[in-house]
Amino acid sequence: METSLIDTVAKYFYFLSLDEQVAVGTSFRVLSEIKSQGYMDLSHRAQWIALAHRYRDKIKKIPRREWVLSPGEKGFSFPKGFDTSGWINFLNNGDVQEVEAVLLSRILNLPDEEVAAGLGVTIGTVRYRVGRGLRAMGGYIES
Amino acid sequence: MSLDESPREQSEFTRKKLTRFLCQELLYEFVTHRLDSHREQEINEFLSLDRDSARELENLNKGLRYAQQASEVKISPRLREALLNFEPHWKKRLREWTLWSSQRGWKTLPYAFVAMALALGLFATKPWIKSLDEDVMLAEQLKKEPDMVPQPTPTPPAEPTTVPTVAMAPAPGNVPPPALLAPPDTPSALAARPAATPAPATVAKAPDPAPAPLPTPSPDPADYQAALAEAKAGQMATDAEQMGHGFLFRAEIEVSDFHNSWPAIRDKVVALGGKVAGNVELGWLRKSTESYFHFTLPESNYSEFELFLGTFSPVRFSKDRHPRVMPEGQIRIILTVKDGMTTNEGSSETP
Repeated sequence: METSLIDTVAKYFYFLSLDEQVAVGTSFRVLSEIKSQGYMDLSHRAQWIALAHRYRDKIKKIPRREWVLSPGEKGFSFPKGFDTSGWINFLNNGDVQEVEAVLLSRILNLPDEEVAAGLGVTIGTVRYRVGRGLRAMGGYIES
Repeated sequence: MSLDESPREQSEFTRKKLTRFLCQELLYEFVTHRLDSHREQEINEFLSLDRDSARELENLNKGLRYAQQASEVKISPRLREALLNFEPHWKKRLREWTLWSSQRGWKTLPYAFVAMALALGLFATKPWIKSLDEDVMLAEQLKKEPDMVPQPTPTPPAEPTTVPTVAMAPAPGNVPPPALLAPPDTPSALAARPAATPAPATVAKAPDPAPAPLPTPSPDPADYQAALAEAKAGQMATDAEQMGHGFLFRAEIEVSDFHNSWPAIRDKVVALGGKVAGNVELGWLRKSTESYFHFTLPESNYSEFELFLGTFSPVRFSKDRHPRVMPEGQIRIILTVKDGMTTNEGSSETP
């Protein structure tokens, strides 16, 4: 299975939940579905996005999964000095479509064309949501 | 608002006069350099004049920098490996088992197969249930037909072969040969068959699906008796196979003092350890002149009981084969005691 696929799916659900166990549980489910449908290679990134998007509103319903082998082990590590409060505020107060667009386009660095195909919208809509989302997120960041 | 990069829409935007709203909506395109140089110049000029738009641009840049930092989130190799090797739990178990069997299980596979076949066979045949079926079932008696034994199968089974055994009765040997050669009984005839005639050395033969060929009576009585014995032996063997291995003792006795004798017989049965079988009480008065006993008795007390009955009148027991098997050391007896003063009525028959 593609490493980038695993990273993309796992980060997507981690940024949407900020909970490792939720992210792992949902990622297991989505990766299993992607695997069963044969969308493992990079050429199916739009399908990855579409499948992940389908699970966006279901992450609270999917069972959490404990994957940690040793206590204190962390699956996701932010860069040094990164303050998550800006993202938390944006996640809690921002428009969910703008949050998703920023996440896919600017954090996961997926091409706008594939994001648009995955979400089923035009590229213009993706950029519009990203622009508005970035401005909103910047407003939550304390400089 | 949807922004498209098509030349037509680009030209529409370039034709529109730049307002604050339009400037702020075009900021993302501006910072990612997707606008034409003329529009970029316009926005630059507008931003220098409009502080709100300049603040929005600052927020946008902060957001971009923050997103850039966030994109550097790393996934630990172990989590990646866990996600990479993700399999449902059952699938993991199955894979482990397959691995195990491929490594060392091939040699045990035939044994496992045989064990499974044995288990399946045991499950299918259920020998333990069969042994339970062989347990003793005492005959269920109906009030109207006290010694009618329900047949295990609906097909008419072979009539229990009467085996003359104990001969306390007088004059055995008066076997009428024609009785042997009589046509087979029908089921209704079987039901109406007398349990034991006063001197029944015989022999109501069972309807045999493939009866042994009987010789035609010859004028020579010796030859006829020999042929008769041979045919009888063959018939008994066949009947024994059909009827199982249980036995039922039947007897009928006529007493002169009926009203005193049958209670005495009942008390003797009880004293000898007899226990009632069926649904009627011991010594049930089927008629005012006839008493019916259906009971089990320890086999060791059989002779004594027989002697006791002999004090009333001669008695002869017939030993019938019967599908019901009694426990070791127990026998089942059906005894009819009749008033000897009224025997000539001859209407009491046990089926």
